Amino acid sequence: MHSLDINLENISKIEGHANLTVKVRHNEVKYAKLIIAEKKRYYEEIVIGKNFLTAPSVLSRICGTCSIAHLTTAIEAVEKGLNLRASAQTLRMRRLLHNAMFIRDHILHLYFFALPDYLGVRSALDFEGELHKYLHDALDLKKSGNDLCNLIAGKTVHPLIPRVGGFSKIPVQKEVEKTIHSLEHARDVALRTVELFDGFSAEFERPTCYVGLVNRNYTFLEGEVRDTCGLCIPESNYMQHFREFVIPYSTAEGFKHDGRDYMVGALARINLNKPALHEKTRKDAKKALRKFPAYSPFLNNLAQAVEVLHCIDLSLEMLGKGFRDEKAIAIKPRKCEGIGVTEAPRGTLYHQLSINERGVVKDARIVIPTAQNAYNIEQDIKQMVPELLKQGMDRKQIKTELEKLIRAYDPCMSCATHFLKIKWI
Amino acid sequence: MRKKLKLGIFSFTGCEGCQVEILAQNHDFFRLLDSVEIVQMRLLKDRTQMHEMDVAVVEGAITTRKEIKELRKIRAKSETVVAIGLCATTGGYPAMRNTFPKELKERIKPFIDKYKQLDVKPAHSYVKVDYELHGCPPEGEKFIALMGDLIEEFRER
Repeated sequence: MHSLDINLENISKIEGHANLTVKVRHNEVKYAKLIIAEKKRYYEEIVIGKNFLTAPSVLSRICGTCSIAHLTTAIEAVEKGLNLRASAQTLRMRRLLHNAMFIRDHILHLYFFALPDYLGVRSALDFEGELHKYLHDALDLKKSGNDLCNLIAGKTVHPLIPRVGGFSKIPVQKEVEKTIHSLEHARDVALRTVELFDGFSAEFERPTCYVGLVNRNYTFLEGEVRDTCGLCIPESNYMQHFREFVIPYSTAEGFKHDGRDYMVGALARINLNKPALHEKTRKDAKKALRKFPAYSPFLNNLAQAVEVLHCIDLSLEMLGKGFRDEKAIAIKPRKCEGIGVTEAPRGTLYHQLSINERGVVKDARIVIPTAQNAYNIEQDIKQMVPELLKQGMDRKQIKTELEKLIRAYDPCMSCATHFLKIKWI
Repeated sequence: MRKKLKLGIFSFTGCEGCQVEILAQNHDFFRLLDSVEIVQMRLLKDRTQMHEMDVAVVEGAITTRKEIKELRKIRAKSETVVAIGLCATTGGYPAMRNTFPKELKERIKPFIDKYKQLDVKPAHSYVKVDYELHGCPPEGEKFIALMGDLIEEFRER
């Protein structure tokens, strides 16, 4: 019978700072807690008093990795509140922007955070000799995501071109063609990436409830919030869902869904909506896709690799349509309340904003993917540790496995720290 | 083989966007590794003990006593300290809470107390900073150029 305590401090190769504490008594996990070590930054308060047009760019500072997700979600919250319909081209550009972020973020996670675990090296900085090709692949793919991001938004972190009502600059055709070229080149690499991650085994399984924003084109900005247990929330009911469902389930232990643990992110999205992936992706990633729906959190990595390919295929199709010159819609403020819901790389992201008649932000509630996944990770740990002990692993090996598990979720601790309402400890 | 410059990249309170921007320099960033050894960078490497280094790059604002201690340790171990980004050079967005109106200050007080948070300050409030790179995030090209200069300086030393 085993009893041990595990403390992982300042877990490396994840976004932000986090610690894990696990207490095992007689082969049973008595306590597993993922503690966010990052310092709270109070963005829900910082944004109060700001103008509604600058609020999205303030909120994008919540996270450097997924700044675009916070930016577009906050923009959507303002536009929904004002009942403003963005143009078809604006929506297409925002979808492209999310694709760009997905490519870049997933690749950062897959190659720089997760892959060293699978290859048994300490860091992507140690990809030498035979392994050096992975660094090249990673950089080529990341470049294509950055290129697409620069095309649409002007820069990759905290861009200013996307705004409420549209974009302040429209891509020129010559640049569009360059980006298409970059994405076409990256597509082959993306295919290799799918094969690479398809080759890693994922033995640990624990089915949970999978939640995500679902639509028939597998884009990340619209659709119904669905889960694998039958929930289906149309766009018109987001606010009610958020108030009656998402917020009440934010308990001391993290987010529960319908009273239980749930998972958001790439694995959840593919489990929910595999048939909607781009047809080229479905064709070329056919073998890997047979694994889904899947119940191993480690397959979140493979799901991310498939999504990278999908984002490239979808973007190539969307870029092919070209862009016409178009001004952002001019907007007058009025008292309103709006909610933006999107899929960020790590899962469903909610921004709720209230503004007054002068356009000043009066209130903000933000719920991020990592907060929603934290409780699910802890439940995984409770099942996984006894299994590892049964396999005869020692404390050090278990520590490594737990770090791998946490990393598979691609948690984003920068995002997770800025909210008063999540009482973690 | 020529001696490599020992570089540490450290993250305090912020969004880590500066590091994301640095990594977005892709090939240019990894080419630095010909002349640079990264001794600390939690985003890419396992934890290690802090050793002497030639250049320490610091992102994020300083918000707790623990962070002040860590920053001072970095200063003591590093020949050159570079602060990058809005948070490390000015306190940035997190520092807005220093001047919150009374109502908001009260709202966040339980957490400020619980996590023993101080007023948010830039790195230069606590240690001597040799170079600052401004911007939110600073342009990645400028970081690469600065590193180029520092490498040159290191070789001449």
